[in-house]
Amino acid sequence: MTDLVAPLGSLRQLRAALDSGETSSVELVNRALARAEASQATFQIFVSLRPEAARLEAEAADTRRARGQVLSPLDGIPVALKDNLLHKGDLATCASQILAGFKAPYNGTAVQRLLDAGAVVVGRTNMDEFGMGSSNENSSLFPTRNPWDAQRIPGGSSGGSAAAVSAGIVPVALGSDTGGSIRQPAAFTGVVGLKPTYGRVSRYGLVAFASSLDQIGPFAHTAEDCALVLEIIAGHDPHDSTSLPDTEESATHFSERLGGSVEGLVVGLPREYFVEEGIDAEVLSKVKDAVSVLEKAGALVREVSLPHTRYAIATYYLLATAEASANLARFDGVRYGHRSKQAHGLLEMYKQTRSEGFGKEVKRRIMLGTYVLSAGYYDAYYRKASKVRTLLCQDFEDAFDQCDVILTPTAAEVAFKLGEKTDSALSMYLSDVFTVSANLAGIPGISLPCGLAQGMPVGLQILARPLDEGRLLNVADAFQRLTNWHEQHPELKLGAGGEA
Amino acid sequence: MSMKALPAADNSQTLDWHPRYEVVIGLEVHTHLKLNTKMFCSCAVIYGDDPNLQTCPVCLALPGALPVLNRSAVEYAVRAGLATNHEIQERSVFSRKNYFYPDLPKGYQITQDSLPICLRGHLDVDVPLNKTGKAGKKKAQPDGFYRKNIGITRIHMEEDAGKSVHAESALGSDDSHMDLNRAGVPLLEIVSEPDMRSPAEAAAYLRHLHGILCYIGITHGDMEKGQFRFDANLSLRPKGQQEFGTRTELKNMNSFRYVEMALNAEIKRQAKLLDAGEKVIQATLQYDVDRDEINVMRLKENADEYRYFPEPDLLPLIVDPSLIDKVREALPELPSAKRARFEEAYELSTHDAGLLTSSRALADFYEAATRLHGKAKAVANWILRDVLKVLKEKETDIEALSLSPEQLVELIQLVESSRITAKSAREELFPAMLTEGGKPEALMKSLGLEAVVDTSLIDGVIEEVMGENADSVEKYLNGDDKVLNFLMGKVMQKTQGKANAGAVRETLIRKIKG
Repeated sequence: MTDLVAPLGSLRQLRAALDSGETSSVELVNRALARAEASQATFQIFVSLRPEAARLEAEAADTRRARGQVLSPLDGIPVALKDNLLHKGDLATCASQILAGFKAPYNGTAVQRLLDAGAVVVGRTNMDEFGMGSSNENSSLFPTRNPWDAQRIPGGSSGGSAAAVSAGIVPVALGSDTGGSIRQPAAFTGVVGLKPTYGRVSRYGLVAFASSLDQIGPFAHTAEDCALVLEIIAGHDPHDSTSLPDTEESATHFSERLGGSVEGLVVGLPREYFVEEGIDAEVLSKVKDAVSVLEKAGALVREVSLPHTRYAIATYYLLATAEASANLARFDGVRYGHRSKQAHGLLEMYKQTRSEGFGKEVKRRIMLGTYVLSAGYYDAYYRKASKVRTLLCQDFEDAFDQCDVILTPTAAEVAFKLGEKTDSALSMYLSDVFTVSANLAGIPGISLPCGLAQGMPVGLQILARPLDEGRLLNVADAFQRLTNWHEQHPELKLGAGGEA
Repeated sequence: MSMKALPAADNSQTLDWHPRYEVVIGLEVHTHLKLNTKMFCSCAVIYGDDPNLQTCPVCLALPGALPVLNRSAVEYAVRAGLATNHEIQERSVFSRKNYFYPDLPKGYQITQDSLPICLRGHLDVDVPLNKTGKAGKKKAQPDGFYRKNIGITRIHMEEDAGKSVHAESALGSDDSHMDLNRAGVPLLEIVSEPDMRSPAEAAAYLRHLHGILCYIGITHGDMEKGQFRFDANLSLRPKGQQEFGTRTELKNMNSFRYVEMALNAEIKRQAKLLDAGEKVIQATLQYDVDRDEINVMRLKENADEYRYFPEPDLLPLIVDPSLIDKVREALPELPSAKRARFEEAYELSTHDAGLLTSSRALADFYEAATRLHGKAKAVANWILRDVLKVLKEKETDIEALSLSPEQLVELIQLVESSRITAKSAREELFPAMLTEGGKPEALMKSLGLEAVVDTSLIDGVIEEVMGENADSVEKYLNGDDKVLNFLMGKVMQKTQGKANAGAVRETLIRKIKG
């Protein structure tokens, strides 16, 4: 018998076990639920679980499999959703008090596509409130802990989804990435996290943080698993005007096209990212080792330049907060979610509801964004930032004239300790330095494990041209065939009642 | 048909409205588009439905919902733009206009700000000239018209807000409720230049614009349902001064008549302030029709702060030049061109031509009837006098009236051939046609309305027959009705069958009994 709370393994492993009849979807879902519950006391990864519904769905998946009607590679596989993805009938709180008790009345498109593929949602993962944070400490519920070290944060804002995969609870989880919210927690927890090209995955049913930057993407243990998930959730959606049309260029089938070599691949290393100052030396050396691995396999390495990198953080925080200030205006206590019971009169109701419902960081960003858009400041901030954004896009276009992919560290350091950066919003914002540019330029990026530093995982980020996820995944897959960092998993010290 | 070239606008004829001040008026019109679905979702546009039935995640602004533009609205906007001489922008951008109000679910309205779909339009408007009075009683017909060119700054697309419903406090509660059926209903906003110099010009512009928008079929234009409503900006400046005075904004009007009254009231108010050496304060105003007075809604000490920025959920709107060409080709004849053509082709006065072209359906009706009948004047008279009267009484339009051009023409021909008197045609047959339907001739017969014709011709013959057949007359007077046929036969014999049987019968009876 399988140990009920043992880690589940990768999607590829689980598919093989299902195909061989070695396990069932019901067993996998039960194990995922048991491990989620056992780890909750210490790691607090989930904000809600749906055991009954998940078990029923798993039974249905097993029935399909018995009849030879398997829907997809994800059929019967337990998955987790970030708490900002709408799943009909289930809570969707974005880890915010203003949405406490709010149940989704419809399915988001990416969620619908997972469900249509037969995936079984076991629960919803913790996050920084509305995606605003880099550590999961901005959740209004509790901070999720890093499965590698419970004293440390798992990254953010999709820290719960990253931790759920890292901890071996589910092989696949969805997150969203506005400025690094998939890639940074993937790096911090030693898993693969993919932010697709902007418009590749529909945002319909993703609670918006910054509409021009948000993108849904998968977490998994391998690039191959990510490819399988992306194939399912990607594609044009008439409900999202910014979703890309289905064309030859945007075609998926990523998993079928894996397995290529990196021979002759031109890898660009942006000079501005490989600086001694500000990057942990051990992290930098692991990333350089990763570059060497590809170089030995035949890749050509050359230095490129992304000259406007130093403006990326400022640009990002101006644009993202401006959009957020409008996106979060709908949480006004009128139609759904929290409404203050203290208030009398309309204006007071608005003020009280939003004061009570939003956390400190969310309020900070709404105020910042409101300021950025205000008369007299719009030109100096919003308009200027939009122009710099164009320059950052141009930087990437120029760089990709000289290379096929760009390699960088995902983060400048390994996962930090809880409370280490909560005193300074600025130092927290700076931890997004390597990831925000990809969102501003709309290009795809992936983070994959490339070693350990101080016993904690280090992330390698690969960036590619828009719609070039095929190449991105191929390089990542090649790297994983050359290394075994992705096979290293944390030994969870499970909390009370859940000791393995 | 040849098109009469419109005379050029002559802005120098602008009426001198106030003895000391020049009046400066600009108008913002909001018009609902005649579309089945909302601007950014597929909810139906239905007026008068139960609250909140026509809603979905998008127009309720549920978390995660996204707008998708109604492409038909784009075509309508292009049509409106072309019909009002705008430059259609091949690239325009939607923006978010941010403010909190319970009827605005997202906390922002999706509209167009600095890059709207139509720019730099204008209209030549014929303004009625009333020599006698200004704000006084309206005469049935103006003393003439002068033509005025009014600039239109822009037309942009946007969504309507919902409606607050302040419930009757039956339960002693003062709760407000929201009806979001209207939230997301497609709108165009049409912003004029401050080119109008009198309330009459403002009303003429609004009527003209309303006519065009209804003509081109982009709106029902039902003002009572709020489908065509407007705000007016008004300021006064001493004559000769270049600089504009401080303006106030009259909000949310939906009647051509009231807008003139409101503007007159505001001119009076501002002039009084200026005369007393006081300042006009920038404010949002509302006109109280019943009291004929202006109420201040709120003072605007600072510019509105809406924090516009480009809507990231929608791509810039690209209008294909081929769509613009297609719409231009399909554009119907516009009211002013039609009126000019009517004046010339049918020899009508400006006033009458204006009435006959007041709606596209009425103009089509008139032209169809004229084609059937041949005499434009006769048809015009009937429509102007009788049909319009009924439309006004019933508060309806020609499409809703059960009257075809064929029926009207037959009615006119019956009168012309003296088979019915004009009086009974107008007072009896015409109303009966509207309720009973069917062919006018048959209806006339069944109602016994056929006219007594040529009595002078047959009078003598009848008296002759009565003298020759005194015994038969006696019998008839004694109650033998059958003998009347015998007498009629004699009369018909003598008139060789040319007499109208009905008339003969009636005259006979009258003379015998007389």
